[in-house]
Parts: sequence; C-alpha cells; structure tokens
Amino acid sequence: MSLPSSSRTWLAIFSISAGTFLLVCSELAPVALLPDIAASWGTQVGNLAWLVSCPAILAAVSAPMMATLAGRLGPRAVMLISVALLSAPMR
Amino acid sequence: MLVPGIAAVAAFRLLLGVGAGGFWSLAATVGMRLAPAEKLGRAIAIIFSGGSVATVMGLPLIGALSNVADWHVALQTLAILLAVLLLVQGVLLPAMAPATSPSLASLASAFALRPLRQVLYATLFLVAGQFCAYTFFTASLQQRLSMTPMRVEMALWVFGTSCVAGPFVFARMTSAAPAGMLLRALLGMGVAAVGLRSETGSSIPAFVAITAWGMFWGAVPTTLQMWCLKSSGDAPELGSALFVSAFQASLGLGAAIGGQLVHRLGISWANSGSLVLWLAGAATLGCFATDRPGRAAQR
Repeated sequence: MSLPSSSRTWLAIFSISAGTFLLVCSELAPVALLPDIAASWGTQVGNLAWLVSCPAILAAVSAPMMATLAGRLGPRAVMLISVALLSAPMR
Repeated sequence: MLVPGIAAVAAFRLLLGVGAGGFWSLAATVGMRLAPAEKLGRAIAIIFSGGSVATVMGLPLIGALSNVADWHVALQTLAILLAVLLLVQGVLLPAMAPATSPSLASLASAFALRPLRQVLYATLFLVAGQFCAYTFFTASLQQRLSMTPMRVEMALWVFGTSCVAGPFVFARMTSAAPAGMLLRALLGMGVAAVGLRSETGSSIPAFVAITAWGMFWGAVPTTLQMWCLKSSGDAPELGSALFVSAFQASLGLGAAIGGQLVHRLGISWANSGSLVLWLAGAATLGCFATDRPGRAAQR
C-alpha cells in the first residue's frame, strides 16, 4: 500500500472505466467483424446475429443474479469474477 | 493461427454474456462505494466514459486490426487486455462490504410503477430498433454501398464521434423533456435510416446520414437512463437494475430480429426492421404521453 489512498481510489475508478471500454468493445466487436467472420466460416452475415444477441440476452438474465451474488460475496469478488468471464477467450 | 470454430466462439460469447451482466450491474455500485461522496458524479462519468471511447476508438480499431491481421486476432487482443485488467483490478479494488441487492421479487414489483413501465417500453423499441440495423452496420456499408474497409472504419469513427456529441448537443432536453427528446431522436434516426436505405453509392450523403443517426442515437441511452432514475421514485437502484436488463434484452432482441430479416430477405431489410420498431416506439411514447407527465408523477 505504497500509494496514497486517494490516488489508489482514482486508479481503481479508472480501472472500472477501462473495463467499460473493453466490455463495450467485446460486446459490439461483431458490428465491425461480421463480414470477416462470415467469410472465414463460409456463411452469410444474416446467420451470425447470435454473436450479438446471445451475449446480450444472457447479460439481461445474469445482471440481477450477479447483483444478488454481490449481496453475498461483496462487489469486489463478483466484479473480478465478471472480468474473468469476459477474458475467457485467452488461452 | 488456426481459425476458431463456431463452437469455441459460441462458448466464449456465452461466457461474455454472463460476465457482461455482472459488470453492468456492478459498475455504478462499485463507483459509488469507491468515490468520496462529493466526487461521486465525476467518478460515475469516468466509469461510463469508457463506453464512449469504445464507440469512437474501439470499433474502428477492431475493424482495422481485423483488416491487417484477422478477426480472431482482434478478439484475442481484447481478451488479453481483459486478462491484464483482471490482474490490475485484483490489486487495485479494495474489499467492499456486500451491498443489499434488489431481490427478484422487488424487481417484479417495481415493474408495477406506471412511469417506470413507460421507460422500459420505450427502451425496448428504441434499443431493439437501433440494434436491428446497427448490428449490420459494417456488413451493409460494404455490401450495399461497396465501401472499402478504410471507408467503413471511417464510418464507424464518424458514427462513434457523433454518438459522443449527441448528449452534449441535446443536453438540455435529455433531462428536462425525456419523452420529447426520444420522439425527436426517433424522427431524426428514422429520417437518417430512410436516407441511408435509399443511398446506393456516393459516400457523402451516406456520411451525412450516419452523422445524424449517431448524434440522435447518442442522446438516447443517457436520456433513457436519466428518465428511468427519475421514474423509479424512491427505489433508484431497482430502476437501474431493471434498466440494465431491459437495455441488454432489447439489444439482443433487436440484433436477433435484424439477423432474421437479413437472412430471409436481404441486407437492406435490417434498416426497414429498425424503422418498424422505431414507429412502434413512437406510438408507445404517444400513447403514454396522453397521460400527462405531471399527472403521472403525482399518482
């Protein structure tokens, strides 16, 4: 804890902002990528709307459940679990 | 690098959805816990500005990365950055006491509030309409208007920049007259969509339409969110929890409708679908507006 607590707080707030940036990028990446993905899978873009719709509909369901979970485990743990899930394509 | 198959990408998109729900439901809460009370507004603004930066810079960069490398490299890059963020947050985020979260039963009871219901219906049609067409933004500019990849990245940037300008251009109206603001946005987006649909080649009118579309759409989420907070009476956290779910569900529904239209009828029908959904949104706003806001608030 070498940093003064207030700059640490603002760094934490900026880290959430970076998360917002990366989450919006990830959710909406197919908007920029659909033609390329369709070409590499040999299909039409109309067959790939699920890349956007499935995560969004799941997010609608998981939001209240994760909020309930945060009531048990605390916001920190659930925030870290969420970011871990977002980073899943890392292998 | 091997091209990831459909099953692998589907699994990652599902995990992304679960994580996104958690992130969106907690982002504001964590901000409120961390920031000193007198700087709360600034903290919330910083947190949500990440989304604006994503629309301005993020999507054009993702498109560019896909052009110079490949689409899965773009997705992998995001995942690597998110893994780095996980480590950073593991160090930076302090332990916070569990918050009392709204129960599922209380979410259902909040839906009984008529002003809040109005906001959620407006969210449904406006957001579904938006993502019916926006999901196919790149595809439609490439296929219908034969734009080069570089032009498309420019279009993504122009759209994102206009989105960020929107809330400033309409600053006064977004909080003072939300229903009126949303009706104007619907009209503006509708005209832009018709313009873009009738466009066949030349880029300048298309860019004008994209600028108008972005500016009007950019004001919509902020307006809906503020209206939602105002309409949820003494339970703002219930209102914002419902809003997160309603926004994401509508986004997903709109993308799914757009997908069906593009699949069955062709790429230009994504825009038509948006127009129909937006018309339904305008009708809903009109129906509720006969119940004057003043009276509704007193009830």
